[in-house]
Amino acid sequence: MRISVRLFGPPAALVGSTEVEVDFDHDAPTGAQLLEHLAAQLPELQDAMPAARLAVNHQFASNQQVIQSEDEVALIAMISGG
Amino acid sequence: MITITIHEGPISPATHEYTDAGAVICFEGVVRPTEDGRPIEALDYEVYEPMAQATLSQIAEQTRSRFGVLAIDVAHSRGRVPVGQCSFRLVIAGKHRKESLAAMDHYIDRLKQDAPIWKTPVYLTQNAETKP
Repeated sequence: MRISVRLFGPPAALVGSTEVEVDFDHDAPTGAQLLEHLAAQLPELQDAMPAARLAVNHQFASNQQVIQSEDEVALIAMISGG
Repeated sequence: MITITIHEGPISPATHEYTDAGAVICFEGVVRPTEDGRPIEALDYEVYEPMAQATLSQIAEQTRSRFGVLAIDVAHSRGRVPVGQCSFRLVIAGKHRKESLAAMDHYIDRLKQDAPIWKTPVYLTQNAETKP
């Protein structure tokens, strides 16, 4: 199963892309599993990943949330609004 | 009443009327002339807009419920905002000063923690760099 993850702001600049794809050898990964894969796949974000969160369909996702292939997934890290 | 608005570029001055309010507090975030000691000309704001709208609204609902304020009006910029211009404005109206000030502080803390908004300094050297 392949999941596309949107990136914004400094994380996107560090990675050099506004989207990354993560492959799993099984369906329905959890939020925690996706974060683990992202951390391994994106060493540029090693400092940001401990505080990073996932958004699924515009809502923060828990580590236990199951992610489906049609979900809109974003990595929310290094935010700086206000 | 809760209002959330994402503006392109700088935010214009506030105009507001709140009936029943005894305290109307307005906070404006203004782009500073330096970042990390380096002069800048502007900040570029990137907003994950569907989620930002939802998050700012949820924070406003929670803040209104917790502090019992009457109205919350939020405006945040996306795109480029020059130094000295307003990029974020929060107006909170309440019956009394104390809960309105507390709600203001709470809202801004939550925004900085949860709103999916990023800024990128545009340095005077023309080299834009990203910074959390």
